Amino acid sequence: MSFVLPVDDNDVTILGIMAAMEISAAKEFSDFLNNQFSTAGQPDWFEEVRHYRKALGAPFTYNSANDLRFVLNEAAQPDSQIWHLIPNMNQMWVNAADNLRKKLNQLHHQQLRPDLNTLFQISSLFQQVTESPGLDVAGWARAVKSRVQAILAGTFEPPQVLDPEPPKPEAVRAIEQEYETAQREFEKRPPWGAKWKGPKPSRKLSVDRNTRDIYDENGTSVKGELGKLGGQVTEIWLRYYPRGGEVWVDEDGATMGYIKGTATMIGWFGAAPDEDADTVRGFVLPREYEFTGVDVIDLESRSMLSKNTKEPVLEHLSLLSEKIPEGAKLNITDYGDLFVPVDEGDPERITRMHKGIWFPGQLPG
Amino acid sequence: MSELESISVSKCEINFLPGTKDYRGKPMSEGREAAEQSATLTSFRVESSDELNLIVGLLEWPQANPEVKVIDLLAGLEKHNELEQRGRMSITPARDGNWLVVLSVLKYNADKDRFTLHAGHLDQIDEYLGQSFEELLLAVGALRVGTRAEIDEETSRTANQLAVVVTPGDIQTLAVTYTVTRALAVINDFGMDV
Repeated sequence: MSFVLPVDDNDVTILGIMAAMEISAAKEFSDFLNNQFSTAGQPDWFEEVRHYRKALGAPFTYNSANDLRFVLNEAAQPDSQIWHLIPNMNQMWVNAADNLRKKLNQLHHQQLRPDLNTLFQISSLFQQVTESPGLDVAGWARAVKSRVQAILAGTFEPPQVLDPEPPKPEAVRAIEQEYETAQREFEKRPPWGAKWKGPKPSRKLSVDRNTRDIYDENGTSVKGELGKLGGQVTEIWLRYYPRGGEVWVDEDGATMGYIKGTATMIGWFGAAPDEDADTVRGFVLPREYEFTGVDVIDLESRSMLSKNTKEPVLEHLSLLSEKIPEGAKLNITDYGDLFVPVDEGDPERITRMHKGIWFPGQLPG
Repeated sequence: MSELESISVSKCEINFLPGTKDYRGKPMSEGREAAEQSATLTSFRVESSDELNLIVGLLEWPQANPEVKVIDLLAGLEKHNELEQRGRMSITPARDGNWLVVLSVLKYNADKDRFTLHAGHLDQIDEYLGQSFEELLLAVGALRVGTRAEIDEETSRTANQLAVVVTPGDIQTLAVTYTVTRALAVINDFGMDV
């Protein structure tokens, strides 16, 4: 397989690179381990590991060593059966493997937004886990990182004539198609504060920031239609649309307003759908957080949530302390869905945050 | 400079309307007491991504300084009414015989809860415009951009005002100047803490 590098921020190409990197790393790792074990006279090593794990009562869902999740998981176990074969193993490798597993799970659940920052982050993880055993993917990951830096810095000039893209493995095409479906859903009903992509809805209302009321085109208040939700809906709209003014409401209640000339999703006229569901929606922001027991730390900037929000957040933090343990790692999506990342299956939403109670500039709007 | 039918500037599209018309009114430079007279009107349309549809005109008076003013607000959001009420752009003769426009900007004034004209600063304009205003003006046909001291040898108390010098009647540069300092300022809520 040839090692593709990004030439711009095209999302499908970036997604394809991440998926292809996983396939290459899986193949190289299993070849590497097969060689090592064969030399040691253990050609059936994968079956032996499977029996060992099953005997311990652990779930073992991998069908072959050609599954990167298996390698990353097995190498990180305290009683790892393959640890001794990977040169220069240390805790940093284990941490990177753990992070990469969670990222790949998000990739397979269409929760990873394929942008250049995410590609850089995931390439760093690939580099960290593949460098010590000397896999070729490490060089690819390094090249992707420098290319991403050059594109972001504006110093990369794409070639006039692009090389034809090499044929993609079926698994890569499948993940690209799933992403495109997820992207269409996202565009139909984007998160609060994100660009509105659909046609302009027909019902025109206006929200007034002084009276904090909602009016129809005749100037009659329609806030009463919302019942108990009236106050909450007005506050959400004005959080994203502080100047107030005309808004357009679609049949399902999704509401659009023009913010600085851009049609923007500002909330719902009524309850947001899935408000009470525990599924995680949207794309995961490329940042990591940790819960201290009383506060959330942004692991990149080391800043504390309690000291960095526009609106009071203590109530939300105390809710978190009831739901998650101290030291839990956290991720958040652009919909504000907060969750503990998992390496298998769907994560569960703990709560929904919004830009007023999150680190400034990270959520849309 | 070629004659363009339309120019895109950030979130706005400017379309130049063909021909000229007679216009009856009072020149801004003569004050409220001025007598009504006839001007030649050359107009352009400014449309934006947020539904603004505004007809703006250059008025050339036989006995007074030319000016750029709104002729008709055809459609838009409530906030675009600010453009209809305020933001006439006056033009004075430069020392070399060209036209000089002081770059004032419509900016939200919290005390008055409306937009009023304020002295323009290139860094602030560049920020909401998303590109260099000076480069844009020069590219579209402006002769000089800078303080009045720099571009018109002004020595009075107005010497530090930011201004542009254009060829007389250069509707393209005037339209871009108007669109950036008036329409785009209002569209981007310039001066509002939001």
